[in-house]
Amino acid sequence: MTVRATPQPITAAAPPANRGGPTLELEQQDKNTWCWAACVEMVLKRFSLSPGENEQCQIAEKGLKLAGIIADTASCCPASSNSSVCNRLLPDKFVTDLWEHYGVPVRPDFGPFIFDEQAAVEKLLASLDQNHPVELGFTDDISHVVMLFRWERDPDGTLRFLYHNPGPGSGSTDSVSSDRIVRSGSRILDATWEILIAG
Amino acid sequence: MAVDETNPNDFIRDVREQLGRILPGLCLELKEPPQKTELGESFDVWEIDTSKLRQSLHSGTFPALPTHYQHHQILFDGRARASALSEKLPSGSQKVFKVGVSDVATRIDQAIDRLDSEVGDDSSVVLLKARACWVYAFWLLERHQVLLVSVPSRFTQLSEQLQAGKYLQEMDFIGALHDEIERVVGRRNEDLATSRL
Repeated sequence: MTVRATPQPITAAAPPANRGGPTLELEQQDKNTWCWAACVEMVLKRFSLSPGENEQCQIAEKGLKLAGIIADTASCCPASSNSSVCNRLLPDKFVTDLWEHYGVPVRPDFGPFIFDEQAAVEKLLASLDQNHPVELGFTDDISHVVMLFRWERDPDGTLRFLYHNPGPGSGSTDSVSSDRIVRSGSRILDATWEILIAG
Repeated sequence: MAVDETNPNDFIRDVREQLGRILPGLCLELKEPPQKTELGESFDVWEIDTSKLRQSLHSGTFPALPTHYQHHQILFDGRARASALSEKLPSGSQKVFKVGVSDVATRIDQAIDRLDSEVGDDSSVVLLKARACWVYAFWLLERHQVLLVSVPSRFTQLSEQLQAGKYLQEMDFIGALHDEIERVVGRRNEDLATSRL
């Protein structure tokens, strides 16, 4: 069997001069269900907020306690623990509460946004133009959140969004055509949390 | 047989040109931007509809459907570090709509080595993605087998079958996937509605 192909060179153009948005670094989720905690961690660490309380397992513990999903006496640290007690999802209402708990002002908005995709794209652009990161919630068979932090536009007008996807299994930094940010196959953008801190 | 063998040269050129425009912006976000970027293998992407696993097990039919997307491996300084998705437009041209830097590209690269060294026949191969589960596998069509490429740890912690690097008969793969998704989704339903992972 011969699957391996000979690599073909890619000639890189100059990076788009037309781009905007805050600086943000990827944090991978430490447990399978902790995309929501990894997104909070990215922002807390970017803005040096809540030092000593901004590790992902601490954030997860706080969120799950706010939601009443784990007992007040439960501990989620260290994240490497094999215990599945804290490997839990967080409902959207408590995602908002968790941001507020850490003193991070957010503007939540719940879709789906498929009925006016252009308006949704414009809204994301407006947030990034104020250097506000945006947590994007997608629904598929299983729901997930990622952190949007950048837009860029080619000279021909092509618009792309860049986001950090915390995982699971493998985190990634993705660049996506703007016409795929709201709907891509079965995946639909159905929630956003604009982080009202400029980075 | 890799899918790229059937691709006309203009298709590859189309994809390379678009990646040449998309990658520079993405690479600005990396701690170590590459000096050299190359296009590697390309594969048709088929998707498993995870909502139809039970039905599939009853009927004995493999629940994968073509996505009309192609997956492209991208090399940074000679190492597979990123990948892209493209689709054919009605005009006939190929549009790259997503590029991502992720360890999945490395795992796919390692699986390519294994296929080349361990599969002696000329089976056709496509890349399988279990929708929404971040499970990637190569599907060896004539052999009715899959080689698991990347599996999230929520599966690997409990399932002996769903382990990256393992060959499974295609319906055994569906059975194992069904069992694990039932467990995960069942757990989700215990939680409140609209939860994120």
